[in-house]
Amino acid sequence: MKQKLKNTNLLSTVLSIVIAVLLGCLLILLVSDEPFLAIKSLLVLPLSNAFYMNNIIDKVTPLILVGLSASVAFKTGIFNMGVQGQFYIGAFVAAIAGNYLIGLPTGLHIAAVFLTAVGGGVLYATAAGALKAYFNINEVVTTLMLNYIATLVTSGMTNSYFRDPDSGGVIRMHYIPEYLELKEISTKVTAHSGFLIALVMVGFVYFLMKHSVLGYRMETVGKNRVFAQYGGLNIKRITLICFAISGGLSGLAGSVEVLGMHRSFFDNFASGMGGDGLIIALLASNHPLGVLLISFFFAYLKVGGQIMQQNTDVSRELVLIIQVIMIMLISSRMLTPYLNKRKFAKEVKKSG
Amino acid sequence: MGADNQNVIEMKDMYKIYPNGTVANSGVNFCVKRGEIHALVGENGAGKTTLMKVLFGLEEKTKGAVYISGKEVNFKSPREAIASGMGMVHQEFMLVPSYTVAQNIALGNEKKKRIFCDRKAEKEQMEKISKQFGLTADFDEPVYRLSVGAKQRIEILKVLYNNAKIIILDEPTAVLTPQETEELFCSLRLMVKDGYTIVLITHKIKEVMDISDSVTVLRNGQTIQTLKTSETTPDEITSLMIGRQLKPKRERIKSQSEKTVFQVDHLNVMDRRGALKVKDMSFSIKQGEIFGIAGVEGNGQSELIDAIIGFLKPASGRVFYDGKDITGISTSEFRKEPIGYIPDDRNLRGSSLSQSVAENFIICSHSGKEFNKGPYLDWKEVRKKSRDLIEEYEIKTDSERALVGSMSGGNVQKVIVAREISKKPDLLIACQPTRGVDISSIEYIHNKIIEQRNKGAAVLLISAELTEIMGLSDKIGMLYNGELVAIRENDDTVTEKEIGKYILNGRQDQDVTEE
Repeated sequence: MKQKLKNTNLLSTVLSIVIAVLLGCLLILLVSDEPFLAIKSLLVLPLSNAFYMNNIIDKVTPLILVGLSASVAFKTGIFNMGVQGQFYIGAFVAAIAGNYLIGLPTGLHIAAVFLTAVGGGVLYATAAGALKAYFNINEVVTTLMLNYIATLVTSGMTNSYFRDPDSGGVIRMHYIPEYLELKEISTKVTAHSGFLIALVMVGFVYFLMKHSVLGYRMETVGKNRVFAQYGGLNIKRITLICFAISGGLSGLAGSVEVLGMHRSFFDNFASGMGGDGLIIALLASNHPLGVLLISFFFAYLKVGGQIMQQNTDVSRELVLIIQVIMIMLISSRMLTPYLNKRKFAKEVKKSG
Repeated sequence: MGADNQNVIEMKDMYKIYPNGTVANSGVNFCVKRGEIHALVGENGAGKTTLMKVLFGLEEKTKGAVYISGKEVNFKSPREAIASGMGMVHQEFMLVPSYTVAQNIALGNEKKKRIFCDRKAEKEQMEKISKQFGLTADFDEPVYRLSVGAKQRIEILKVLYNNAKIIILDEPTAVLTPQETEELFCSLRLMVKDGYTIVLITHKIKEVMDISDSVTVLRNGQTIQTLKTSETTPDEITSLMIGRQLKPKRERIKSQSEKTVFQVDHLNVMDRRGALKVKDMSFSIKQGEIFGIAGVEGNGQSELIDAIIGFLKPASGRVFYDGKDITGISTSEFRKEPIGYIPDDRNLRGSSLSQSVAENFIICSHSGKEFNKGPYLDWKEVRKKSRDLIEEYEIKTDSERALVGSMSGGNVQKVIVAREISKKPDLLIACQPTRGVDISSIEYIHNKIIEQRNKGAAVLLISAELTEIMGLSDKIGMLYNGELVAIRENDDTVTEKEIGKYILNGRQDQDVTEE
């Protein structure tokens, strides 16, 4: 029975995506003078050549990581809205460590950059976690507030102390040394190797949630806190660990973006990242493989939107509209009851 | 149409299949005559509540026809049902705790004076109904201060206030003491005399015999038979309900051991608001002994338990288990001891409805060596053990992967009992272990508790069900307002009435008066 319901869930997600895309196309037809070129640019061109495809992979990397970050928290029943802030802290720390720990041996330096960046995300998230675990302060409020602090502090620092004087009109730090950069995966797949890190993390989260003792505990806390507490689980500790893992993944996402894509910390360079992470987790029902798939879809739409904007009179914000329709359809579970009903009507008929 | 105008409710060939595939009703026929008390009985999961929810417009029927006073109806919402003169008192009360009694009763059907509520007219009507049927209530009291029995009277008043002529009561006596039940039945008789029609959902045979005129038995979603109460016997109804004869109760072996396993010593517990809920309580339980605490709910039972299991810190006093002082122990440590604990709140504390049976089984044991290989949880082993438990405890489910939330109350309770008893406890704490559970499961759970006792476990049984307390306990403690007002050996001289007086009044030598 559980299996069957899962399938209709999956089906409703897919259907929601299809409906959202169709509605997006309808909108293009209404507003554009060259609708067919626009639709082609949005949906077909991203898969038409290697350059665009690599572009998709570059874009999918941070999305997977922030999506995993949010899904781990959601699964534990914790609404970590602070993915954005933890992402910025990770990125900022990575750029600082990359620029100012010069002199370390290369291997050590790489390790130090990752460790400090992930550590930054962990600490930043755990601050909210501690407030929740020990003082029962709602994490939605604290993490959202901490987002502002992270965004503004990193921005302030980048504008003042850490700004590269040669950056011209762009507000950013120095570029990190070349040996720290995440290289291209191969000569053919020119996307940066952060993608591989993201894939490893999908595997890690999958193992964590499906096969580990900790994962069982986290899920139980998420499904029924009172039951978990009565069963003798240490909720405070599990809450803290969950925040740490979630924040660590966000921090890692930030560092991967800096090391692989931007090679420096730019002021407010990824303002939608946290929101994307939360939405991806939501659409994926917090399943790590779902996160992978939905992230790819988001990246594909982002690239498609860019191409469409270059080629036609439709702006790439249309992609946002499609995303919003998807969210409404899926989060309201508008299609699930309908699909269930049809399914069982069929089964009842079959069984007479 | 109008074939038999005497039938105020007529449901023909009803089917209800839930979207998740559960078949709740498959071909139920149900007729109620005007002015009678009609008992609808059946085990949990037999489809009683579903049938009534369909009738009341809370659920949509899959197939079938419903006639009210001979007219075919198809209620889409409770509002339509109420408009046609029906009312339902649910198992869980649906009252706003911070509102006064009067506000609760009027809610949704306020009398208006221009744009204002005419509270005076409302109250006049309420008082009239209250007097007419002996349903006493203090209309200005906020509902959260009321006892369970009083809350139920408010629910009934509300239904009457809404001009219902047909009243459905879903397991109304599950939470009442014998005296309160008797009062309720008096009111019901008055209503019937006045032309009201009452459908009483229950699984207590005694009540069926006491009060009903007719009885319809459901089993597995089907009507088994409709009988005149005067022409049947309790045994007949029971065997119709469960489809077989009850097994005799397990033999009780008198315990010889003198070893005290569990002791509570001058315990005082405050609830989270700082009110003293357990007052200077002392008792001890020996090996192979069942200590039953009888009491109306809300007299300190939950605070006592919370203090024992480490949810609340006691204000003073000590708790000893196996010679160790475990006062103020954390819940995690408490659960590591070989103590079984069956909580009263089955759906929140006792189980996780949106997780599988297997996941529910291992809440205490998942960190043990059996299932644990480093950070790796051996799900294969977990599932194997779960299948064994499902078989051993006769739990009805498709597989160990089925969600607990998809199972009937009795089966959920069996999952909890199986988990706690498989810890091989030397102390078993059972709170309301059979509340809202069907007869077969009650029989099963009772036998399991006695089996544990016979094996030498000490058992602390807390229940509002006097027959349960009297049927199982070796000693009975009577709880009133946080105090154990009396502790008595459970021998032949104890009567339900005596216990009832203690737990309602705190003493023996007085007639029962309303609080």
